[in-house]
Amino acid sequence: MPGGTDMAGTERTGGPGRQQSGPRHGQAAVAFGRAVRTPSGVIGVSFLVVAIGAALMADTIAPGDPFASSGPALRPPSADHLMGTDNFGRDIAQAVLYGMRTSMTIVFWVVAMSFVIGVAVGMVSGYLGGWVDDLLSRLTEVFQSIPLFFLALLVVGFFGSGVDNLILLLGFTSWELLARVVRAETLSLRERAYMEAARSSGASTVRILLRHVLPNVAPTAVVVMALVGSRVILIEAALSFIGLGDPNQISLGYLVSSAQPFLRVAWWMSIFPGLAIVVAVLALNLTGDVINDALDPRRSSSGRRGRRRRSAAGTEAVPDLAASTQAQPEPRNP
Amino acid sequence: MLPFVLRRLGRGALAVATILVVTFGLIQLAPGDAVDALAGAGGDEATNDYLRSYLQLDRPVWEQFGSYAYNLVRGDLGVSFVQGGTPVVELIGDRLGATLLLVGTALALSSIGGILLGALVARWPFGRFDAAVSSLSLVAFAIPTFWLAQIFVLVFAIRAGWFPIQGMTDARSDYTGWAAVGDVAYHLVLPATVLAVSQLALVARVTRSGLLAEKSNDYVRTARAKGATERRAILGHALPNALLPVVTVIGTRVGLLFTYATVTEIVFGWPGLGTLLLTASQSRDRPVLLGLVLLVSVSVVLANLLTDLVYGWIDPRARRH
Repeated sequence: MPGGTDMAGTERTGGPGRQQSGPRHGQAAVAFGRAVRTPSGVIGVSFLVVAIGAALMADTIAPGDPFASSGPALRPPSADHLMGTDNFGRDIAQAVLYGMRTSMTIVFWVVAMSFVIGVAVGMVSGYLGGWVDDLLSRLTEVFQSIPLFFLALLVVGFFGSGVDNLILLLGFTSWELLARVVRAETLSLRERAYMEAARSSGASTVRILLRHVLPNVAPTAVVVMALVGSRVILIEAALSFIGLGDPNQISLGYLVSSAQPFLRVAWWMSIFPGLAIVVAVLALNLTGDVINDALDPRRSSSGRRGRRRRSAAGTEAVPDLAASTQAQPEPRNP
Repeated sequence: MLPFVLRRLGRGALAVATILVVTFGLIQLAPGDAVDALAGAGGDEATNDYLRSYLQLDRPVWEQFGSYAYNLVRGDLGVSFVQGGTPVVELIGDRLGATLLLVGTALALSSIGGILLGALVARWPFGRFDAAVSSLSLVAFAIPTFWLAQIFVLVFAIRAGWFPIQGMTDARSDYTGWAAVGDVAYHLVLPATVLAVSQLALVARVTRSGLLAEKSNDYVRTARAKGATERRAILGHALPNALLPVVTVIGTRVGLLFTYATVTEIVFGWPGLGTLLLTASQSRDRPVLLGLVLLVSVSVVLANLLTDLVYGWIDPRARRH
């Protein structure tokens, strides 16, 4: 049933001319359109729009200092304060908006950093093989076995807890998943005929990596980045929950932790910031699924056909990846 | 099998050594030291110098690291800089039990519960029940543990009043024997459940997909053909083979479980390593921090090793890598 040539598909590719020049892009658009229209696609993309919208427009929607008091303390949600006020009379809705901005800023930079490191390490490791591969694989393994949260705790505890420190730390330590997936992908690409052609026509290694390997591993890398992003949100939230976030920026984890002493009297102080975290994480996880499905409709999690996880990607060693994508083998045999 | 075990042990030792060096280096690079934290802003130079030489912080870095590593080999993790010179081994030992109890209970709960739930879903796949479980598990992965902990406190302790809000024992009563065990178990219910939730969702998911893959195999059909009930065909025949990836998932998540345990302990006032970690990192208590990171790293490496061994034992093909 999935084949990428139904009615909606031909509409989206924008005419036969375009299809001739780039059938792959046309099919990708079709598949993406189809994946977005599934329930989880709709939820994922709209959550993502909400999260990014809140982050970008926090000061337009709710201008003013989120640390400043704006009314009586500990009031439940009302028309004036949609999510109530905290023990200092600060508006929770405004704080949540600015908290979302902090989280999304951190996620953006961390994901960018780990993309550069992870893709570079993965491509070099997979393409060159030999001792380079051995060395980089051991390095990746070490980063995999460091309990990230505890390392983060050490670094933030010692170097101070600025947003920039947090970004550097998480960026330098979150690439290991990406590196493994890209390496596996590169390994399988290396033996293809067009690679051989590129090599024999005298292309340099750097050129081959950038022009031939990178475009092919990029789609998978994007899916993994969504997962890395959702993991980063949770770690950042946990760090600021235990008081190691940036004291000058409102963050969602800090809001939840400040609700702790008031649980008995002000449930709204905990509920709304926590929900915001869930929305942000779900947005990234579900959007990652949508892209994943679009890349390969045969493996669609919502599709009728069974889905094989890309075994080359070594996902079995990556429970988070297996967990956050709906991707699981589903043979439909009786 | 022996070369395989030795190879894995070597890798594990390498990982622990690297983590140790990296951690030590990081702490060294950080601005300020334990003396600043101890003396505060008002300390005078002479006292600070004395403290530095007393704590051996005036020696070269490699020498500090050397003596730390030497003592470590002899099982000595040093003494806390801050907490009146208490040996780190003692500080950690006092709290290790509570954390292990919490993590162990959550691990057992999530493994058994997850496998059962996964088997149930695989019995009736692609239906409403399957869809409900799969949506719920997506949400479970997205919920931060500390927030789930607060929700549980709000709903089950504050509103319903079924469980205690805080702590590991009831301070007002003086239970002994089985009553004391029951008291701890009663306090354990909420934190252990919170800690188990996301792990349980994951285990259920992996079990489900493994079972669905196995269910279509010939040997399961043979089992059914010779008259085994569907339940027996799944639990007795398909499940043992489907458990391989489940073992991996459980093993590789031990580090995460320790992480989540830390924040869970903070919300529930559980007297484990979480609060020790928090105070140690705030006061830059290097020996305590190093000890804790070392402990967690070693547990993670050991858990990975154990997983590999179990895997290699069940599936001979895995020994080659």
